Amino acid sequence: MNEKDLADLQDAIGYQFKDTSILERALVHASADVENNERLEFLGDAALGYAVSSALFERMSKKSVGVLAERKSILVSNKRLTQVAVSLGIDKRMRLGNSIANNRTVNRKIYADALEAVIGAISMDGGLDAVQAFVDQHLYPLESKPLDLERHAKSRLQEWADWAGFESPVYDVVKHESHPNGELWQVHCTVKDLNHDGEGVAHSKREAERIAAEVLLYKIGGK
Amino acid sequence: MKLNLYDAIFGIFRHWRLQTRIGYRFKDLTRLDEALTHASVDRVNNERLEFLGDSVLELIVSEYLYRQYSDIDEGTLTQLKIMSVNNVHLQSVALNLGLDEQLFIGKGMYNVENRGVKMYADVVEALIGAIYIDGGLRPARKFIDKFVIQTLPTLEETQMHPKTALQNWVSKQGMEYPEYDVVQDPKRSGGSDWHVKCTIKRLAITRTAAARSRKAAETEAARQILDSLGIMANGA
Repeated sequence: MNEKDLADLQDAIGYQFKDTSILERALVHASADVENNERLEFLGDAALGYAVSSALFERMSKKSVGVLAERKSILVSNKRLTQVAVSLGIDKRMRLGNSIANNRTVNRKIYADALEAVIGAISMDGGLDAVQAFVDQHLYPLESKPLDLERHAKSRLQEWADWAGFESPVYDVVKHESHPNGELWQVHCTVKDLNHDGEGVAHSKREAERIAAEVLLYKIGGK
Repeated sequence: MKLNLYDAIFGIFRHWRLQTRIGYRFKDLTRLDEALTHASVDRVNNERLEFLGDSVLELIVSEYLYRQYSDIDEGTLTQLKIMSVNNVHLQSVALNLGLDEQLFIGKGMYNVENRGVKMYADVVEALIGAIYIDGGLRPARKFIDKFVIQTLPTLEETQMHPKTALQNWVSKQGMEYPEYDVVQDPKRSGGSDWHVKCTIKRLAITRTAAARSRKAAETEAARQILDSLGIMANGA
């Protein structure tokens, strides 16, 4: 990796390494070298589990262990970690062996593993506080950049509610009119115990719900 | 609940004795009690602390293994980790600390047979969670190092003969040596194999194995016990 790539990656991660060689090591897949990221992944997996568990324990002080465990499994799922890895550009900066690099369908789990290795590298270089900061910034959707703006607002809102420990959002139709040239839907979106709400008006119910979710996401700062 | 003087004094004594054993003084003793309260007792129980303690334990053990064994691969690191957080190993930590006598359990659990290995393993994890919440990572690390990590066989010991490895392990837990009993002697039974039963009384574990020689049967029985403890033996 060149200097610029390293700098860009550290900016995206939001952490500046004292020793960047450990970050580079985190991006070496086992197919490329015997000196690869597997040991760092081992460490990162545990550091991530710890950071997520302690954040959940603190933020969801009233929730049962079942809820905590479920949230944790969502947050550290391969799907979620791959999402974050791609959003940080880790997928484009990995060193892969020929067997994998030439393969058009790469198993995306290697990106999730590399992200864990990067987390391991952060814990080696900056300690657990740095890992906690990384988790807060990138795995907590409310405070992070949107992971994937293409995704439907309703699923982003659902994801946020899951994380923050709220019940699922509820969509109520406030008004529905049929006109000769189409329909008009007005939908109200609420989350129990949350002080904000959202409202959307559109020609279809689906679109009105999407707008209502978008408005609510905007109000809570989740974008 | 009516609290009389006897209960109060006994409570202080109980807390003092346990804290001395685990080597940590709680700022807030309700956390210690929460860690010792099984889900069968109360809605406020040790399940949340166990959730937290589980990941603190994994973290500390992983960090330790990563630093201690700088040249072994991830597969072996993972095996060693699994061995460290194995429920039977944690159960023996619980028994070693006498946590079995300190646990608050519901009526359904008064029958000892209902208390599984996991219940004791969970209370160790909950205790780790409680120490972490009360005092942070440093005392949690100290506790884990002393009671979970130091009581494990080293990588070198796992390469030893199974009987030696098992003997080392039980003595680190402060338990009696394993017992080997001949269940079937070919000279008397007329069969071709020796059948030997290996027992660890404190954990109520037994395994019986058969082989052509008595020594081989003992070895196999010891290996099976190590397996159930999640301990690698003889380079396995």
